[in-house]
Amino acid sequence: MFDDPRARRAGRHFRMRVELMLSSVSPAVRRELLDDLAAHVCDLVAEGPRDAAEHERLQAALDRMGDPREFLAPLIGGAIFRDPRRDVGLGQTGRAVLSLLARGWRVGWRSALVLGAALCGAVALLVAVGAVLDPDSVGLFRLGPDDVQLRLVGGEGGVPLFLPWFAMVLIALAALSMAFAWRQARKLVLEILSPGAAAK
Amino acid sequence: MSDARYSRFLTNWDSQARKGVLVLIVMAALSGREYYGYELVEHVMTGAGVQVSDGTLYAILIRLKAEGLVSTRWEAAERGPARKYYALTDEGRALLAKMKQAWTGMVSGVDAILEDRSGRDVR
Repeated sequence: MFDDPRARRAGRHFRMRVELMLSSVSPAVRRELLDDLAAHVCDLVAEGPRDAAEHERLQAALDRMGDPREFLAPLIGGAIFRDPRRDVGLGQTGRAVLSLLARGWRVGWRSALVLGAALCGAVALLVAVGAVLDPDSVGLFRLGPDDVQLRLVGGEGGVPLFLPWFAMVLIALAALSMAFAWRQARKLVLEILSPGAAAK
Repeated sequence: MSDARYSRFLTNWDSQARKGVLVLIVMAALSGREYYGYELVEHVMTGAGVQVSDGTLYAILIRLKAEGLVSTRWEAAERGPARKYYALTDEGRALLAKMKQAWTGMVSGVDAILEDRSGRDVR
């Protein structure tokens, strides 16, 4: 929606605040409200001063919108939004169960991605630091003509094959893994707050 | 009470009074033609001199739609994302007519109180 990273960040922050406010509202209504708000904010940004940067126009637009806790509270408190528990027919129940299962699956595999990437990054960082601090015990070692061993927590024997680039590669790998884990974690939060939003 | 406090009191009262009739103002605006969100906010703010956040007016539109008093439709914009247009439904028009009557009665009642029994205007 926005080119400027600062504008994207501010937009995401506002969206998450609205989603938090609407967490008790049915997904369909929440989606409609979020789309409405997004369209309105886009109009405000488009009508903003031409000479201002995108993130400044967005900030001005969000200031004009006001605090979501204030303008959404009367709607939620006043039970304006339809409570999904009113519809408890067989079809509604079936759809709800399927939706929960699908949501659980998406949350599950994304959680696994976050944990896996974070673990991979932590191990890579551990080995890189270990190889620098204790090059005789941690790192790559040649044990025989065709036998190379990767030691994570120390060991004995073999010829160290540690090269400066090895630590650099591991640190780069750690950074990539952590960045991936962070990105997935953000999507996970979005998925929990608003089912289906992370896919967009 | 100092002039500054009088002025602040008056400003607050004026703001609250205008906010109190926001729903009537929004419905009256939508009775003339359909508006998209930003356009309606600009019209209400400049036309009625009401200074409220866009979110407040947006919440009113959501409530009116939930009550079936306003209908919506999406339309592609010349540039940028599609716009959602709001229009008063038949139920909204019927209710607006009653609200106008109530408003007229309210104004008359307030006017009567603002004038003392001897007919002297105290405004």
